[in-house]
Formats: sequence, structure tokens, C-alpha cells
Amino acid sequence: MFKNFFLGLTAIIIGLFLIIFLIIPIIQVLYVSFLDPSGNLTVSNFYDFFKSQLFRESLYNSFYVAIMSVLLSSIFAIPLAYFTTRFNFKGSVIIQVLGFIPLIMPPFVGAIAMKLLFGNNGSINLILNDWFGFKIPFMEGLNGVIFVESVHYFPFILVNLISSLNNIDRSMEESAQNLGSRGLRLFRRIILPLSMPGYIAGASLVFLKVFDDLGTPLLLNVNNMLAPQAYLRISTIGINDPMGYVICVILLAVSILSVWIAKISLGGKDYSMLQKGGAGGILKRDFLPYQKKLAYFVIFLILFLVLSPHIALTLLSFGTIWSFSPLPDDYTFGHYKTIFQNSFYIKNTLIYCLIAAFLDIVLAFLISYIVLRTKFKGRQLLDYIAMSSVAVPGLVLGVGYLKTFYSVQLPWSDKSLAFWWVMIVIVLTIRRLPYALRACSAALMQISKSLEESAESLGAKKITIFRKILIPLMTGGLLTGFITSFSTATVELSATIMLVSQQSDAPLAYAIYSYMQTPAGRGPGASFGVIGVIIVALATFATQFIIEKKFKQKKPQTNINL
Amino acid sequence: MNNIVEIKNINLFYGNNHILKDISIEIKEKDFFTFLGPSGCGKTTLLRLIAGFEKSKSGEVFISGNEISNLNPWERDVGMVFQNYALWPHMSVFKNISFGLEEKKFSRSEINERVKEVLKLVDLTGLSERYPYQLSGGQQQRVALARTLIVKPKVLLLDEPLSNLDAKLRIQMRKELLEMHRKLGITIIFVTHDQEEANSMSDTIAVFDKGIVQQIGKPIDLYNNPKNLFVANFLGTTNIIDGSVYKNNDENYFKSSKGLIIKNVLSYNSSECKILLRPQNLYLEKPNSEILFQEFEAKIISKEFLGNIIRYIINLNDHILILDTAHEINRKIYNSDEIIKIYLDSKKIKTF
Ligand SMILES: Nc1ncnc2c1ncn2[C@@H]1O[C@H](COP(=O)(O)OP(=O)(O)O)[C@@H](O)[C@H]1O
Ligand SMILES: [Mg+2]
Repeated sequence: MFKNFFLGLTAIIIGLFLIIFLIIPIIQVLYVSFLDPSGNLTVSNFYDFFKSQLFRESLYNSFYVAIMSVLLSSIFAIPLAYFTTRFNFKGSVIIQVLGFIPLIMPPFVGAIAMKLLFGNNGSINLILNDWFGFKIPFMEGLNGVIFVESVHYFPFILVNLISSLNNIDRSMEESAQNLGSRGLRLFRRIILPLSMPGYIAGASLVFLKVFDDLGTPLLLNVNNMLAPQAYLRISTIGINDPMGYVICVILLAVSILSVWIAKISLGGKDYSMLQKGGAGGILKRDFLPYQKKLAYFVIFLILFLVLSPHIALTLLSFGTIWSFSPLPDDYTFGHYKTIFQNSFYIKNTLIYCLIAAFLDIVLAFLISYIVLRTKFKGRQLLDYIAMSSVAVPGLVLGVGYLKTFYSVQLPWSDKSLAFWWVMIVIVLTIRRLPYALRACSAALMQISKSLEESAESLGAKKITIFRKILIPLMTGGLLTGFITSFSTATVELSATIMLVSQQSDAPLAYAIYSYMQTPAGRGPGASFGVIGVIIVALATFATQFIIEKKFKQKKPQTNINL
Repeated sequence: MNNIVEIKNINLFYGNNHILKDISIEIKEKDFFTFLGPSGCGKTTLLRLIAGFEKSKSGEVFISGNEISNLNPWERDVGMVFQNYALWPHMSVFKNISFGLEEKKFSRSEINERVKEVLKLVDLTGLSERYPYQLSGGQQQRVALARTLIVKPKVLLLDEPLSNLDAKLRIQMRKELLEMHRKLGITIIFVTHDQEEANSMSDTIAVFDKGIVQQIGKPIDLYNNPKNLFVANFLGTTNIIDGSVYKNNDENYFKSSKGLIIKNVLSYNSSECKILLRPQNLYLEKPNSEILFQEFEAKIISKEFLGNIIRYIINLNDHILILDTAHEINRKIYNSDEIIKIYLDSKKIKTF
């Protein structure tokens, strides 16, 4: 009885936490978007939105950029997915490594560096101009956003597509051949439709990420898109200007829509169930010699593109002056000196993200326990709400926090609650909770209930069962959840950018963003970027290592999807 | 009758593993031909070779007299039903079944006509708009069958088609398959590891072990005249006793490793040998007949009531043997530890 009461109380507290820090801020955003200046409800704000030439253009541009990014990402991803799943091919290892890239560096970090490499006066175009006498406008206006986003996010399509191709049993194809089908026709009628769910899941994820991204367009100085417009309205005109909120509502709606599309494309048709048996994966072939050369060429080209932001960022962080030349004029450690003088950014990030990730796994553990092991009414709702934050763009959440907590004053200073550093931690916690929750639920689901029940029948208390049975068995899942939350929080910008009021509270991502805005700040900004990438990469490899070597547990499936 | 399928000296390797060893088989038109053997003996591999999904290192496959070893799977005109059915989950039953005809560019009206026909044949009329995941295992299997039958292949290859069904459905499907075979007059190559299934359905059986064809023949011939112990064992319950054969006064005697002596066995060219005794050829009462039965003393260890027969486990000279008697209402039933007399006819003993 007592332990049920205690768990019930925990459930209520978690519910309240989610309501205050997730539901209410979103309702605030919705509410303000429907208010007229005198405080009455109206839809005229939306009417005004569509009347404005700038906003219509921004809406169009956001869709255009998101769709083109999906297309370009597909062009990168499809051949790679095809090579690995269709052929006996050593290059597959490289392709698998590519799956990590978007996790370790978000596009805004590399945006400026990409400009130096691919811009109108960037290294590639200078070389092209010298050798062939023409330039390619990779980075002009919207092109730049599309290019940078695709280079970073195409692995979402790649990974999902590979896993769905690997789920196609070879007998699917063989039975078609047996009935007289072959070649392209067979591909179109069997392979393509069967791999569609994975592709759509990846594509809608790319769409979502690009549509919501704030940092990349801002840094590339492309302001006529939705996210930058919302940010600029609220940060320049003020937090009561309804237009910012209208844009947020649109961002939210599109985001929910694309998550929904991804869900139904994956959920409705789990094809893998019906294809058991057989060797797994589509039929593999050997390359012909010329095909092999072509494949390696394509892979190295894409690999170069994918690594180019990293290369450029590193060059930028060591370069003195880098403009109108293929490589920096000279190299220095100066920028790194600058960042160590301002190391509080790094310290802030580590503190914020470690706390947020810790809160995430505690919440995730409790939520998954409540959902999977108790019979409380409405426990499923807890899970839905916690997971729903994947569909909420960071910017929208940030704006919601600002609006909700701005008027609350901290008792011990004249500052607003919205600008207290703890709010940054909480917004990160909420944003990353779904990652941790998925890892925890997966881990808990693999543990048989009978283990706990037998311990219970021997008289063990709940808390002992947690400590001695569940937590040790779930270490892999908990750790994965922790690191994923931590590392993705490290480079989170769009939610936190709204909540930073003073430099001394700012996290690393904010520092990268603000340094990168001025030419003089690029070097240090890039150095911060490199530090961020290193932190995330170390964390990622550390988990991998610890889980595989020490715990001998199978890593829970961290398939990148929604 | 003509041979529709001829397999000649097939050798197939996976890496260094010699999977199919010098396989030669001839299959007559309209035959219900079964590949029987334990799991892993290469049945599926041979079926896949016939369908064109595997390449052999040497040997040839002929269909209707034409060599097809180098043809692609889509050019072969053999229909294969996969063990896991391999229905396409994204297509309805109708789409699954019409696929083959669409690939062969049949007209819409003819496709509709033939789908209707074949749905009726496999008793699935009315389910054509369902998707595979909405069907039971038995229904999925019928769809798989219909999908292959509709293109009227020269040979139908069935890879353990009944193994995923529950016992009751399996018996029913046996009947239906035979019915279909009779009605369509098609050649079927049927794969199974279940001897009862093979015996009850096949015209001809090829018994496989370790990638080698052990014996080919009609079910009854295989049972009566197994060429080796493997075939004997695989096709029914047997008692096997090892020992040796010696000659005395122009008669062959068998002496078992534990001293049991049986007179008048068939000669054998090497002295070390094994004899094979079917459980139903050991008798508890001396049958009324002209034949000279030999008599032995044995002890009942246990008995098992199997309905139409009673199966005794007996100890004969320290050999543990199985003895089956037909169960009749008034027949005496023996209990454990009873000492009994048993009778056997040495002509029914096989020596290997
Ligand atoms: N793709 C493969 N690669 C390597 N060995 C295989 C492969 N497929 C089957 N084998 C081996 O070939 C042998 C025959 O397999 P199979 O034809 O499937 O047996 P059956 O159908 O009689 O159970 C088995 O020993 C199996 O392990
Ligand atoms: Mg098999």
C-alpha cells in the first residue's frame, strides 16, 4: 500500500512537472497568437500573417528549404544505402560511421566554416574559378541553408533506409524473380515500396529538423524564413508582439504534422513481421570492377562533403586570416587561448547538460517504470506527454518559457524567472526527455517481470529491487539514455537562445553562435565548435565502449527515428 | 512417360562446405516427387538450385529436355513456394496473386478471370482484398500456392509447405494438395523432413542425408527394401542389432555382440554386420503359418498403448527391442517383468 502511494505521488509530481514546463508554455504560445492588442480572442493575427509579403515569403522559403534539403539528403543517402545493402562491399564500414555525424555536430556549428569552403569566395570556388573559370553558388542565399542542412542531416535518411532495406527478406525478391520479374521493374514493385516506410521516416525527420532550425539561417544571414522571423520579432519588437507567436504556432503545426507522418509511415506497416526466416536483407551481389570504382568515388565524394564542415571548422579554429584564399594564411593557437580565457561557457554547458541528462534518466526511469509496471489510471498519458516534446520545436518551447515565466520574479534578485539559469537546464531536460525515455523503456521491457516478482516474494522492498535488480540490469539503457540526452543537449541552441540574458550564464552553443556572427569572432567561435564536437564525440564513443566492454550488454537499438 | 526434370551429377559448395554431393535425380511428368531428409541435409539448397537461386560447381539441370543450368530464375518456368511463404506485405491478396501474370503482360480481363479461378481452386474466394497480415497461416499458404499456380509453371516446387501449420491443418492440407495435384496434373517436387508426410503423399521419394541421395523409390519399396540403415531408420521404427555372420553346415548364423544367435539369416559378404528387425515382425504368439519361426525368451520392460497397436519394449538377451502387436479386444496384455516367448521369421531380417 505504502509503496503504491509513494509511486502514485511520484507520478503526480512528474505529471505536474510536465504540465508546468511543457504543456503550459505551449498553451501560452497558442493563446497569445489568438490575442488582439486589447486582450480579446481573435484570428486576425493569422490574417495579418498571410497579408504580409515578408511572412508569406518566409513561409514559402521555409517549405522550399525543407523540401529541397530532403531531396538533396536523399541524393546523398540513397546511393550509400543501396551500396551497403545490395553489394558485398567493404566500404560499408565507412557508411556506418557516417550515421553518427548529425549527432556530433549540428548544422549551425559548421555553417560559417562551410561558407569559407564553399562560399562565393570560398576555397572550392576559388579553385574552380582558377582551373575552369566558373563558380557554383553552393552557399548563395537559400542554397547555403539547403546545402549545410543536407550535409548534416542526410544520415537520418541513410540510417533509416538501411535498416528498412535490411529488413527486407531476400525471399521477397526471389519470389518475384520466380514469377518472372527482374531488374528495374522488380525494384519498383518490390524493393521500393518495402523500403518506403524507412525512407519516409528519415525524410520527415530531416524535414522537421530543417524546418525548425534557427541557428543555421541566422548565421548564414538568411532571415526570410519562419524560424528566424519568429526569433527576430520576439527579440527585437518584444515578447508581446503576436506575430512571433503566430509563426511559432505554424512551426508547431508543421512539426506535429511531420512527426505524425513519420509515425504512421512506420507504425502502420511493420513489414518485418511477415518476412521472418531466410537470411535477412535483400540479395547481395558482387560489384563489377568498374562499379566498384564508381561506388568508391561516390562514397569518397560524399564523405568529403560530410567531413567538410569538420575540416573547415578545424582550419578556421587554427587559422589567422582566411578569406579570398583556399586555405588560411597562417596558423595560430590564439583562438584556443581566447576560449580558455572564456572557459565559463564550457563549464556552463557541462553543468547544464550533466544536470539535464541526469534529470532525464531519473524521470525516464520513473516514467517507464510507472508505465510498464504499474496499473495507475492514465499512466500511458504520462508517456505520451513526455514523448510529445519531440514534436515541439526548440524555438517554440523557448518562446513559451519566455512568455510564461517572464513576469515571475526571482525572490532573491530583481531578475525574471525566465532568465534564471535553471530554466535553461529545465528546457534542456524537457527537450531531451524523449531520447532517455525511449532508451529506458526499451531496457525495462527486456527485463522479465518475474525477476522482480521473485525478489518481492523473497521479501525484498521496492527500493531494494530498484537498487539491486532493475538499475544494474538497465545500466546499458540508462547510460545510453544519459549520454544521448547529454550529447544532444550540448549543442542545443534554438530553445536556449531565448533564455540567455547575460553572457556569464550562456552555454557553449550560444557562445558558438554569438562569436560566429562577427568576422573577428569566427576563430574563437570555431574553437568553441571544435571543443563541442570533441565533447560530444568523446561521450558517444565512451558509451559505446563502456556498454560493449564492461557491461557486455547489447546496446539498445538507437535507431534514429522519432 | 517422359522425364520432366533431370538433375545430373550436381556438386554444390558454400565456401569450402560440400553441400550437395554428386546428386542425380530423374523426375517423371506429373509425378508427386518428394525430397525427404533431416534438417540441414541440403533439400532447400537443391530446390533453390532448380529454381535458379543457387549455382552448382558442376552438373546440369534439364527441364523438358532443355538444359537450364545457365538460365536466370525469371526465365525458368518453375514455380517455387517458399517455406516462409514470402508474400509481399504491401500488396493485397489479389495483387500478390496477379503479380506473375502482370509481369507476363497478360490483359486485365484475363488476369481477373484467372485470379478468380485460382482463388476458387485454393478456396480463398472473397478474401482477395485482404492484406497478408490479415490472414491466418493456412490462408497465407494458400495465397502463396495460388500466386505460383496462376502462372502455370512446368514444375511446382514446395519447400516444407506444411511445416508452419498446426497438426490438424497439416492433415487437411495434405489432402488438398493431393487433390490439387490430381486435378491440375502438374509435376510437384515436395520437400519435407517428415517421413509420414512423405509416405502418405508421394509417388516417388528421394531420401537425402548429408548432401547425398541415399535411395530413390516408391514409398513401399523404400520401406521394404531400404538400401542402407539410414533409409531404414528414417522410414519407420526399427530394431538394429550389431554382430557378425558365420557359416555352419551350409547355414548362415548371426551372432550378436551380446551372444544372441539367430539361424538362417541371409548371407552377407563381410562378417561384421548389423541386422534390422521391424517391430511388427516380432511376434508374441506363434502365428499360424507354414513358415518356420524361431523362438526366443525375453522379458517385458514396459508397454505403451498406441490405440491400434500396443508397443512393448522388451529385453532380448540384453538387447532392448521394440515389439508391436495389433491391439484386439480379447488379446492378452503383458505387464512389466513378465517373461515371454517371442517369435521371428528370419526371412524378414535385413542384413547390412
Ligand atoms: N547461404 C548459406 N551459406 C552457407 N551455408 C549454407 C547456406 N545456406 C545453407 N547452408 C548450409 O547448407 C546445408 C544445407 O542447407 P539446406 O539446404 O537449407 O538444408 P535443408 O533444407 O535440407 O534443411 C546446411 O548445412 C546449411 O547450414
Ligand atoms: Mg530447408
